[in-house]
Amino acid sequence: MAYPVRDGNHLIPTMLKSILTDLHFWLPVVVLLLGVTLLAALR
Amino acid sequence: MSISPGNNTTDSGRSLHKLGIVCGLAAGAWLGAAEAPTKLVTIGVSPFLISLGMVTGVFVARWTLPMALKGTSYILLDLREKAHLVVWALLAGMLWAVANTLTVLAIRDVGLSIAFPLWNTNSLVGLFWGWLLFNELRNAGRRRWVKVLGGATAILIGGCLLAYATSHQSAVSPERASFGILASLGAGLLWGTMYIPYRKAYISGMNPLSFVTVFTFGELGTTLTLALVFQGGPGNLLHELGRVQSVLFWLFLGGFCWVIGDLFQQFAAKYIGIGRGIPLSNTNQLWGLAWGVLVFGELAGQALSTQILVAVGSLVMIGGAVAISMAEPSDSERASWRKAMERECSRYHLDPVRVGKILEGEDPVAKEASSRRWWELLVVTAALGIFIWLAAVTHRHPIPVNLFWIFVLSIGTLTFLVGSGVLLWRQTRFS
Repeated sequence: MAYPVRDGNHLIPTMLKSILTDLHFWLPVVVLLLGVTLLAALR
Repeated sequence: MSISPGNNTTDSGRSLHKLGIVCGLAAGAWLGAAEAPTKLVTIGVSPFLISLGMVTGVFVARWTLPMALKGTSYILLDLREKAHLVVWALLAGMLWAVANTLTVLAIRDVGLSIAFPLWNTNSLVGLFWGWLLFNELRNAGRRRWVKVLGGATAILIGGCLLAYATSHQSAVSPERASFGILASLGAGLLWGTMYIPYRKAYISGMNPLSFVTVFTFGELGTTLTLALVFQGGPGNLLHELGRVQSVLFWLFLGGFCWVIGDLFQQFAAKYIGIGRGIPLSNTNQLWGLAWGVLVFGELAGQALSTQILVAVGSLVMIGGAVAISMAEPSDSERASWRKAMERECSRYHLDPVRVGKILEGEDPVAKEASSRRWWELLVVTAALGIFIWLAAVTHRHPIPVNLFWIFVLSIGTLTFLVGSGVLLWRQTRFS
């Protein structure tokens, strides 16, 4: 099966799909926000 | 045919396991060596500037090394194929930068001896995410669990002993202690979570060299933003950078060593997973200690009890690394890894056969990438030029060093570079 090389025009929708539908993505995002909050509190 | 836990590993799996172990150990050597040049930077330079200086060196090296090894055409093709991972790489870079800044605050508040072991819990956090999200250690059998979890814990305990023994911090401000502990644990959580994007990228077939090329934008952008916030705006930051120009070479050199170590860590995460790869690369503390003690004489005149603690801590850490090295994943565990890979392929419409080949060390992207461009040489020359210029304007502070041990440790570190590099090239062509 040929591997579908993605068209550059589809870059943004692909990323959006990653953000919106992948639950795994939100784990690092939540941890990053926690880290930034901690940094702001401790500085 | 069902596969029961504890089945023998295939020759291919065993070979990749060995490769991943060697990469993890090489990562430890080079991440540890990265600490040596920064020791030549005098006290009095803001930690945020040190961090920014190193990350800028990292940025230069991260663009240059992947391009020199694989070429821009390859990197761009790889990124286009797995475009959804670009945002993951940026996120990982941001996590690294925030965690790194938290460690600065942690050292300020509780000292390195308490902070270092606390943020080194990142390996246990990574092990947990690897198990939960990527099926690492699933169907692995009890013995492998004991080896990996026991090994990671031993490396952590060894790290605690080393940090305690080498601590020069005599008093910790009580009112800041809780802040420092929070900052350390926060850094451990962030770094441990940063391995989610790593593993996500590699079970989707992305080349580690492509991943770090994007990662570095998230890293530099966030570090620069934090430096601007903490240093009081662009004017102050530029003024401070001008003030430390004479030591920037050492920070860049540290950053360069760090990039090499990080690349090996990425390949370890690809071939043996984050549960095994990250604890191995955390042996960098042992190498950092070797540079500090043998080259810079940091333990000279210390009590016998301190030296015994260092010896015991080092042995415990080495024991942990050996235990993990012996925990080859069985076929049943590899089948679990494969399920995680197939899940990613299904979600993002990737070809599981092609991704499976990449995970076995093949490099189909290389066959499709076009030839090298002339300006790649120009970029490499420019990067070299930056290092040469910084070296010309730098001056080394009169810190006594042991040249014999510099030679021995340099040979040891370079042996890891050449040995691991040759293995990676032979088995995977840096795939």
